[in-house]
Amino acid sequence: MNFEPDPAIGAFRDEVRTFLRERLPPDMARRTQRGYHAPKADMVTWTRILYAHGWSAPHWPAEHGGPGWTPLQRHLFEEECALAGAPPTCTSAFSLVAPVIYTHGSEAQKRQHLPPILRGETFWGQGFSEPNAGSDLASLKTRAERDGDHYIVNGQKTWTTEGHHADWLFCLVRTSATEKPQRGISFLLVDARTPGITIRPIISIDDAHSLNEVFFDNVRVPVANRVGEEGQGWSFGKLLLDNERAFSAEVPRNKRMLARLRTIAAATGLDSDPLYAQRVAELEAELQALEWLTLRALSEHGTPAATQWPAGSVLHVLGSELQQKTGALLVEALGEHGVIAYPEVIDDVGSPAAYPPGPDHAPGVTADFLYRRAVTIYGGSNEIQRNLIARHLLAG
Amino acid sequence: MDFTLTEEQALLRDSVQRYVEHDYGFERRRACIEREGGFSAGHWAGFATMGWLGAGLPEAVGGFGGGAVETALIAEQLGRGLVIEPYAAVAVLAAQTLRYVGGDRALSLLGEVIEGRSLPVLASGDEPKHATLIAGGPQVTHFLLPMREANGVSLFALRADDLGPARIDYRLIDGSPACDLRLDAIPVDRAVRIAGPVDAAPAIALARAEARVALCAEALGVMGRALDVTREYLRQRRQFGVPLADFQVLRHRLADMSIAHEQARGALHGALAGLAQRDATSRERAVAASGVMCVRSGRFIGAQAIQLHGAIGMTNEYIVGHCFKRLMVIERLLGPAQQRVDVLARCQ
Repeated sequence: MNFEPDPAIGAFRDEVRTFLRERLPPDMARRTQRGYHAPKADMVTWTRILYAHGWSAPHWPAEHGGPGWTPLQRHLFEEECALAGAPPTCTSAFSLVAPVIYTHGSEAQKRQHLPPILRGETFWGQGFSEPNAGSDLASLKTRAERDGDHYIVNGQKTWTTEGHHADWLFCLVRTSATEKPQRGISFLLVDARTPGITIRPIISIDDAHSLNEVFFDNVRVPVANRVGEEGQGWSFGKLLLDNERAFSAEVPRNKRMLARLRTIAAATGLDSDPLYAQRVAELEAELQALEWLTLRALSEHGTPAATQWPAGSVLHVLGSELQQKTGALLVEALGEHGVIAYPEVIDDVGSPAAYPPGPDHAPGVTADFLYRRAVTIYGGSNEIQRNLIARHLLAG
Repeated sequence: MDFTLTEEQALLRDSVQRYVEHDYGFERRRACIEREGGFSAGHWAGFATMGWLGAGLPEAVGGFGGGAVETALIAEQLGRGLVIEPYAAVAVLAAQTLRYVGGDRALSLLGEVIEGRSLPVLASGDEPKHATLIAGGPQVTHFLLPMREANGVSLFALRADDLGPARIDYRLIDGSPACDLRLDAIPVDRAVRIAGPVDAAPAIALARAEARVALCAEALGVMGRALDVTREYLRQRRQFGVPLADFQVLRHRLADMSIAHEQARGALHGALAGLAQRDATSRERAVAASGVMCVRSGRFIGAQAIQLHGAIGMTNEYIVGHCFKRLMVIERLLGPAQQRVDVLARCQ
């Protein structure tokens, strides 16, 4: 163990900062900082800018197009991007499906899917949850029945984030009825434009459309689009959710939220209130602990040390609850403006005449706070995470 | 001290409860928000016909002889229904302000309030240049403006029509309409003095205290609805082959929600007792303490109602998210947290 600062890391941070200063369009950064869901156009543009620099997939192995960074470099990169207001890339593609494809996919699947993801040309949506299979994902009912070289898929998926932007869907489907329901599940890559697929919007409590339900009515999917063997889908799904959890500490986002809180508190004079300062101080202390826990988990990834503690679940619980606490303080810091409905202004060319009154820092804060009720639910609810932590502690 | 409702009080509560259950369903509420600007004239006329707009006022001013308890019974049931019309703003804050300042002009306007013909609202702040977050939208008929003069605060009434750019309308996150007023952009001669030059400040303080207690009662009703909906969901929703209600962690969470709900009710009763006290310090203290607890319980119950539902709780089609948003709005209408803490610290 050694925590001496690495002299090379300062140069790396400078390189990232220079890149962001030169390449991140300021209007895009302003939109992202507000906290509304990023428009697809921004995500695509930004992914292409990153790709041109070789940086669109920081955590992928170098052989598949990653930059070959250390865990600390990846962390710093994501932190700098978040603080500068860079929009996200397509998480479902880069962080969820791609690791499954490059780890378990066929050579043909890697060739077909990884390059367009890297270039920001294809967006993906996740088809895991169903109306009656949420926490109990293994009870999923969407069927895929073999018909020659195809599967015929029927059923319904839900909570598909950004599904309305998706070119492709990755789905867990039931290919056989087995005694242990997990064994009958397979992992399919589905072209979202295949006939029989209907995608419908779900409006969430932030009055925004990011979630969708996806209906499958006799959808023909080539057998070649199955990743791995029949019945392996569950273990891929678990791998993917573990990956999702590893990122769900969301340290960069937590830092951006705390920075925004400081800006607003300074603008409103709230920063001179000792009670308020104390509450912000508590969040800062939590954030530092979370950051170092995350760095440790990233460093241990793939080593025997990683099996010694349920890092993904611990990080998910801490990171999600910190976002909600910081969000609540942000809303409070806005005072009366915290309960005003500010519609999202996409074009960003100044507010329309009838826009609700309030300071420039107000729009987006409460919408983001409302949407972030979901962070303790998705990727396995915090109740499920605590069960996993307890199971780990009590096993053996 | 008696916690049992009188026959009249029970009838009043039951009548509001029935109305909310039969005539104020979730879908009708949504239609009102999306198509009627967040206010239904039909509902408001119904409130007047059933006597709710005068239920918390003495007979001497044209009311039906009740007080803060009757107001709280109504507000709690309206909260259960997530009623979007501005009952606390018009029938409590504005009405009690008119009642306590008294005089012919104020009481004449109060009579119209009780009949549902006028909907005045108090524009917040002492002598503000910019009154903000005034609950109520296009249906508001008068703004009641407290203005500081040589002898103290006077109360003016300003007709709400034709205010042009001095008035800025918008929506709150629960779908209810609200507005700001730029007072420096309003010609003074448009406003009619209805109280003063005697000091209207004590009357306004009393009315504010009553309105805050009504908001606490409303919040309690929202919490009760969120709790009931969540309890039903835990019974019906099955995962892992059993109802969610079989999982101990969820049972305990539901128990904590119920504890928080009972705690808020205790706080409300404390505030109602405080309103019955003659001295201002006891009253302010009790009202502030009730606000602290209702906000705390409301935050917990609102958030956990969504959490225990999972993703379905995140959707606008489902009720618990609206409970959460309504509780956020009520918290803000109760005023800043710091104000309550200051009152409690000062009164120690």
